[in-house]
Parts: sequence; structure tokens; C-alpha cells
Amino acid sequence: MMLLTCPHCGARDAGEFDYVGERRDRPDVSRATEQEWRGYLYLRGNRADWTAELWHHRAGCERFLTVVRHLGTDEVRG
Amino acid sequence: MAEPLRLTDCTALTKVLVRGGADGALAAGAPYGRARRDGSLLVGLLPDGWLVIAPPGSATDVVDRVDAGRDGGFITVVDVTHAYTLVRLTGAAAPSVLEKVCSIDVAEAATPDGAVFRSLLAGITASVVRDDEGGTRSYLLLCDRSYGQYLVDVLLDAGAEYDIGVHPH
Ligand SMILES: [Zn+2]
Repeated sequence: MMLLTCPHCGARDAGEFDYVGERRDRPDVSRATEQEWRGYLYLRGNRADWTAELWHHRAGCERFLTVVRHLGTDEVRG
Repeated sequence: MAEPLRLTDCTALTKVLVRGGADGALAAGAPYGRARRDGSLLVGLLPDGWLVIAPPGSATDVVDRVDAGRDGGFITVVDVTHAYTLVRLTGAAAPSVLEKVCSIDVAEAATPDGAVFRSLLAGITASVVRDDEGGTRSYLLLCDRSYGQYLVDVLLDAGAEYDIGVHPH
């Protein structure tokens, strides 16, 4: 079982959450090049390393939270 | 002798959902994860959402009361009485039944009287309010109406070993 710690609810079974995706900063639409915008929309790092991700606590507080997870080992930080 | 285990249908109770106004009086009365009685039962269901559980047929009164008590901010107040199934699980063995269907710690230290949590109960999203009755362990369980029969069936199955009984409201 994998536990994720929600800032509102505490440690919970990962089955209560939806995985949303890697955290990325949204570029400024008025200044972003097509390459930058394409990268924001479609490209993912997917490295076997520590990655900041967005998750949604669907069966809990219904809030979005950041989870720092190692994609190689599934360890969660913090 | 320990209090026998019983399941009671409380769906007819008025349920009013309040969203928004996290800094207001409702948050002070029942922060997320806590419930408080003041005639009706005020449940801190979400960080910015409350459920008021009151006697059957009192939705108009509750909505008026919440609206009158708001402190200027925008809130949404909706009568959701018919959107949710509400059952009460009472008895000394009630925590043992909950332990069979969810992964939340329902021991006294983690989930005392007045505690509220929202989690998966037998795979469905449900809210649990610990609301003891005269010193006997009791929980209000709330889920989407379409899952109501399933939740009751699961609780009866999990409670069979404790001789669970069904009581009409
Ligand atoms: Zn949460």
C-alpha cells in the first residue's frame, strides 16, 4: 500500500487520490514560443528521479496537492 | 452487556450543504474534520464545505438560518436532502465494522466523538461523522444516494458477525 500525506487530511491510502501529472509552470501565453507552449502541453520529463507531481484528493478533501515522488522507487518525500 | 449493533436509516433527515466562506462563522463552529451540535448537527465536511443535518422537513428553516448568519461573503447553500443516503451505525462493535470497510484509524485517539472524515468505504466515497449516543459509539455515514443500497448491504455483511440489526428511523 502506498501512502500519500494530504496537508488537510494527513496520511491516506493512495487509492483515495487521482494522479494529475507532473507539476509544470504554465508559460505566459502572450510571450511563449510555439516550442515552449508545445512542451508545456505535451512533453513530460518522466525521469527515474525525484519528481514534483500534482495529485487530487478525490475521496477526501477534494483539494489538489503537490507530491514529491521518486519515479524509480515510488518513495514519497515529506 | 455491550450495546448491541444496529443500523438505522436516517436518510429522511434534512441535509443542507454550504460551500464557501471558509473564514466565516461556520469554520469557527466546525472546522474541517469536526462536527458540532447546536440543535442541528454542523459537520465540517470539506475545508470549505459544511453539511447541516437537521430534523426532517426543516430545509427552508436551515437555509434561512445559514443565510441570516453569514458574514458578508459569498456562499452557496443547497438542500441536498435527497441527494445523499444517511445511515447511523450504533453499538459497541461499530468501530470494528468500520475497520473492516475502510483504512482510517477509528480508535478513540484518532477519531474521538465529534470527529469527521471523508474517505473510501468499501470502495465508495463516503463521509463519516462520529456522533456518540449516550456514551455508546455511533457513526453517521453519508454517501451518494445511488450508492446507498450498496453501502447498507456492505455494512450488513460486515456486521453479520456482530449480530447487526436493522432499525427503521
Ligand atoms: Zn485531503
